[in-house]
Amino acid sequence: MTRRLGGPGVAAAVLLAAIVAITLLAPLLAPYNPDLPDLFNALGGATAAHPLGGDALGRDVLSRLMYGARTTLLAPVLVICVASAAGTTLAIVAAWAGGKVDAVVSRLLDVLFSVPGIVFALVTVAVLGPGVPGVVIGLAVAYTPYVARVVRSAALRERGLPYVAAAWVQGRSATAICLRHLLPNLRPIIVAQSVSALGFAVIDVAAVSFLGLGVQPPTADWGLMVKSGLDSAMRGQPLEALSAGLLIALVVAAVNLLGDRLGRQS
Amino acid sequence: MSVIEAERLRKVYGDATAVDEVSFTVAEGESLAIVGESGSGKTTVARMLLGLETPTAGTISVCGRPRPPGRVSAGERRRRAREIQIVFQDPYSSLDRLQRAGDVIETSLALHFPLTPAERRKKALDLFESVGLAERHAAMLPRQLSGGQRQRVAIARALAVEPRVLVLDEAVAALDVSIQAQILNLLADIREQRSISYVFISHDLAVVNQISDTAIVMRHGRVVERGNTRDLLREPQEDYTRALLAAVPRPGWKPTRRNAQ
Amino acid sequence: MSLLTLEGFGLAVPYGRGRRTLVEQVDLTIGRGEAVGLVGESGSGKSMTARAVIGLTPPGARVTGRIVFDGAEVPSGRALRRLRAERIAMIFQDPRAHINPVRSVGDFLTEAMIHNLGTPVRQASARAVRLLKEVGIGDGERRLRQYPHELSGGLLQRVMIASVLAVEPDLVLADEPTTALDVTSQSEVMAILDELRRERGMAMLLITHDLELAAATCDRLAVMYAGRIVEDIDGEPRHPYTRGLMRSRPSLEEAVHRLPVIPGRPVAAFEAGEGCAFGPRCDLAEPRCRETRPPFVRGVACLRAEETA
Repeated sequence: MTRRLGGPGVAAAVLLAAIVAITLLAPLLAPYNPDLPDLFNALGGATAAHPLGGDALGRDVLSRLMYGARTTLLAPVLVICVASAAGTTLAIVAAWAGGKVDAVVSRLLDVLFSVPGIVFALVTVAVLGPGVPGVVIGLAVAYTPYVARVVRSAALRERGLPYVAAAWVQGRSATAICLRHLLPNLRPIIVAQSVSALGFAVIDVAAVSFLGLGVQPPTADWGLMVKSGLDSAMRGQPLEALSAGLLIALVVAAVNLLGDRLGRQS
Repeated sequence: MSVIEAERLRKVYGDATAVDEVSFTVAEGESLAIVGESGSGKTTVARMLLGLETPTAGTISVCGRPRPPGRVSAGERRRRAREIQIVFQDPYSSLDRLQRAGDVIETSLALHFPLTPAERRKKALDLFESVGLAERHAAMLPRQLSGGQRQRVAIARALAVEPRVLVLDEAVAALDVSIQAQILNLLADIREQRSISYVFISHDLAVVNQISDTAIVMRHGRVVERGNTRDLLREPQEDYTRALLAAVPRPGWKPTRRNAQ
Repeated sequence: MSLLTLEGFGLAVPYGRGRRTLVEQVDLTIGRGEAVGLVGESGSGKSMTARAVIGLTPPGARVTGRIVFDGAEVPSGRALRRLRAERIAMIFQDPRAHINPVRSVGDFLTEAMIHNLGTPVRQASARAVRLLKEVGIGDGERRLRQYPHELSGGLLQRVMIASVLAVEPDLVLADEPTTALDVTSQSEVMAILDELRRERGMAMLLITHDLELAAATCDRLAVMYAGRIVEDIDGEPRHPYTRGLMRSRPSLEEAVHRLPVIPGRPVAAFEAGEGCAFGPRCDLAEPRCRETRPPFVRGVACLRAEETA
C-alpha cells in the first residue's frame, strides 16, 4: 500500500490522519474552551498564551480550529458516504438493466451533474432551514452523479466480461451477481472516485458555511471562521481567517492527492 | 433423441444480419463442431443457445423443452442451467479475479444441490480431480493459476451443475500448444465418462477434426456446408470449406494470396 | 556476412528486491534476405528477444551479451531510433494496438516518409497508394482516407506491412503477425511477407507459437524453451520438446483417441531448476538431466539427442 501511494501519497495520508486525531482529541489538547469569550484577548495578536491570537470576541483561535475541524470534515464525509452509496447503486442498476433504465438514469445523472453543488445546497437549505442536515442532503444529491458516472462505465465494462455471463448461465440471480461479483470488483474505483469527490465536498461545505447557511454560530467551523475572520482582518487581526483558510486548502490538497494516487492503481 | 434442436435461427443487429436461417440438431452424446472465421456468426449461435442473446427469429429447444424468448422464473433459470453450460475462450476473464478457485465450484454446487458444507467441499474436490487439478489449487486466486489451469477451473464450474450439453466457445484457442492437447484429451475423457454432448465452436480445423463427430461450416451468418466431420474434411463439397482447409499450415504448405481486393 | 547476430544474449527484469531471468544465453544469426523462425510457447522469451533487438525492453531490464546489426553493435538513444526508423521494422500481433486510432490510414502511412525521408506530401500519398497495392489492397485513395476502426484485422495488418515497406528496411521483426487473424487472412499475410522478402531481399525474424507455420515460411527455425534456444531445426526435429510439440498438435488427416501430450506446463527461465529446463516434462529424462544444463551441441541442447535421432 505504501509503495503504491508513493512518498507524497503517504505524506497526505499522514497529514489527514493527524488532523483527524487532533480533532478527536480536541477536548484534551485544546488550551481553552473554544466558546468562551475573553474580552482581554479580543482581536489579540499571537502571544505565548494564544499562539494564533483571538477572534472578535476574544475566543482562542487555535482551540476553535481544533474543535472546528469536526463540522468542517464530518459534513463532507457524510455527504460522500451518502453520494457513494446512492451513486454506486444507481450505476450498477443502470449498467445491469441496460436499455431504457440505463438511458433514463444516465440522462438524470447528466442533468444533476450540470448543476453546481452549491445550488442544490441552497435549495435544500431553503426548504429545511440553515444547518448541517440541509447542506448534507443537498450536496449528497449533487455528488451522486460524480460517483455514479464513473462507476457506471466501469460496471458496464465489468458486466461484459465472460465470468459474468458464466454466472448468469449457471442460474445465479441478478442481485447475487451484482453484489457478489460486480461490487467487489468495482470497489477500488468507487473508493478512488469517492476520495477525490471528498476534496470538492470539503470546499463546498466550507463555502456554504461561509455564506452563513451551514453550521450556525457560535459553533466553531473553519468556513465560518474564514467569514468572521475577514471582519477581524479588516480590523488588523488576519490570523483567524488565514489559519482557517490555509487548513481548508491543505486538507483539500491532501485529499485530492490521495484520490489521485488511489485512482491510478485501480 | 436430440438434446438440441435449433430451427431457422436468425439474429439481426440494426441492419446487420449476424445469423441467418441456421438450423441444426445435436444428438445425445454427440459432439457437433460449428466452424467459421471471425464474423461468421458462430459465437452468436452459441450465445443464443445459452440464452445470452435472444434470437430475432427461429426456435431453440434444449432437452426437448422449447425455450421461447422472454423472462423466466429463477427456478426455471436454474433448471435451464442444468441442461446447458458454456466454457469461454479467454481463461483470464472467464473467472472472477477475486474469487478463489474452490469457491467458484462450491458456489455452483450450493446453487443447484442441497448439500452440507462438508459434502459440498468433498464434491468440489472430486470435480477438481476430474479436471486434473489438485486440492491446493482450490485456495488459489485466478492470477495464481496458469492459463491451462484456469481453463480447467472453468470446465469444472460447467460440469458442477451436471449439464447435458456443454458449449465450448473457442475453449482451447488461447492456450499454448502443449496445454491445448491436454485440454482436448480432458474433454475427450469427460465425454467418455458422462453422458454429455458438446457444441464445439472453433476456427481451427485440426482441433475440430480431433474433437467432433459432425460439423457445420458457417460464413457470413449462414451454413455453407454440413456433415460428418471426417467426410467434410476429407472431401469438402463447397469452395469455402476447401479454401479454409487450404489455408491451414502443414508440412509442404505454402501460403497463397487471393486476388488483390 | 550476417545481418543480425545475437551473442550470449540474456535479459533479466527487476522483481521485488532481486531480478528474474527471462532470456539467457541466446545465440542467433540471421543472414541478409534470410527468414528465421523463432518458435516457442508462452514464457519462452521469444518475443522478449525480438523486441530487445530494437531496444523495446521492459523498464529496468538488464541486458547481457551482444546484439550486432550489420557489423556494428546496436546503439541506444537517437542512433537506435534512426536505425529503427530506417533499417529495422517491427510488425506486431495486434495491429490495432499499434496504430493511432484517431489518425487516418493515410496519415499513418505517409508520416515516416514525410518526416524521416523528407518526401513531399503529394508524392508520399502516391507512394502510399502503390504500397497498399503491393500488399493486396486496391482502391488505395479511398483506404487512405479511412480510419483504423473501419478496417478488419486482416486489412489492418496489411496496412502495417505496407508501412514497413515504406522505409524498405533490411530486417523485419514479425511478432506473431497472424495470431489474431483468421486462417485465410493468415495465409494471405504470410504470402505477402514471403513475396516481399524475396523481391526486396529483406530478412525476417518470425516469432510464432506455430511450428507448422514457421516451418512453411522460414529458411531456418530455432525453438525456445524457458528463455533458451533448445534446438536449431535442420531437417528432422531432435529435441524431445520439439518432437512432443509436433506430436501433440491435432492433425487434419486423422483423429486419434488421445493426443500424445507433454505433461505439465511451459515454464519461464526463472522457474527452471538446475538441470535441463524441460527435464521435469520430458519422458526421456534421466538422472543426469537433472544435474546440469545440457550444452548446445550440433544444433540441439539435449543429452539424449544422439540416441533419439
